[in-house]
Amino acid sequence: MKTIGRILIILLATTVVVGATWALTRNGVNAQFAPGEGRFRPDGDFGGEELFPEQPPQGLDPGQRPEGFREGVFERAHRGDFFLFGWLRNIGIIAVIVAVVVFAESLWNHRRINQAVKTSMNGPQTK
Amino acid sequence: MNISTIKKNNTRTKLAIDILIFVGFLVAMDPRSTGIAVHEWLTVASMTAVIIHLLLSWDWIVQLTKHFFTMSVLRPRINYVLNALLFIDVILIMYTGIMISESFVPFLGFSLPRNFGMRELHDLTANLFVPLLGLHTALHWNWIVNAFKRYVFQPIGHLFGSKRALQNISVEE
Repeated sequence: MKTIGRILIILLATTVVVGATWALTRNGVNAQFAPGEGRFRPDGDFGGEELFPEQPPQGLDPGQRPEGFREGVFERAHRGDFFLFGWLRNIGIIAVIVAVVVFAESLWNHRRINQAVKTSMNGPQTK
Repeated sequence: MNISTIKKNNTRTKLAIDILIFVGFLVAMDPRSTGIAVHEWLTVASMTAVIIHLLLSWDWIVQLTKHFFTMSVLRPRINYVLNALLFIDVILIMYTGIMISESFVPFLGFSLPRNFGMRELHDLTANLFVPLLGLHTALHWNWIVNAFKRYVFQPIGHLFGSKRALQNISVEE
């Protein structure tokens, strides 16, 4: 029962994040992330600028990207070639971040301990 | 079962789940080598593991949420904020991933339009996930090292130690 309650809280938090994202993209606060086609748009006239055009921009075929549009995960995935580079790159990034943070933290702790030792050796401050 | 045994089992389960999530996401993060179907299904499956990970860390989350503004130490606060960002990022990856799904959603019998914006957001959040995972790993590094020592390296050491002891006995015989 307790676990079910906790799972519900996690799902509620998930719904809040998804709802906020949907609202932001829907209202065009972040226009560049607005969906490109209109199937999510409810019926009715909302007025204002069309954020979810039914037609692809500038006469492009459906599914065709505008010029200069960055290659995404889909295109890369559909190339179908075996690539170990992605895994190595991700592990490399994580390893570098871990090394930097752990080293900086140990350095910081070392300094703090040294300072504490120095203070205790000097004894209480007297006038 | 006493508290220390429960704690020990909890840590062991947590370590196993964490390794599973880490490897799962690492594989899923590179759809070039796995293909889109494995990419999508593995990420959906990893979501279950993420929920278990959160449930196992529940007491820590509750404690920190309660004392977030009153605690004097900075490290747990940074950790908490980072974990919150990681959670939001994972949810965004999942949401945008479902919106542009080509395997999982069609399997469920739904069809969604191709979506440029969601694809961009999916790429952005996925790229952000790697450094966030790095920071998350870094801030839990001591726990990871200790858990590995206790539940991976020590048992392996004991295994080789007992094998060696058995060999010594047979040589002496």
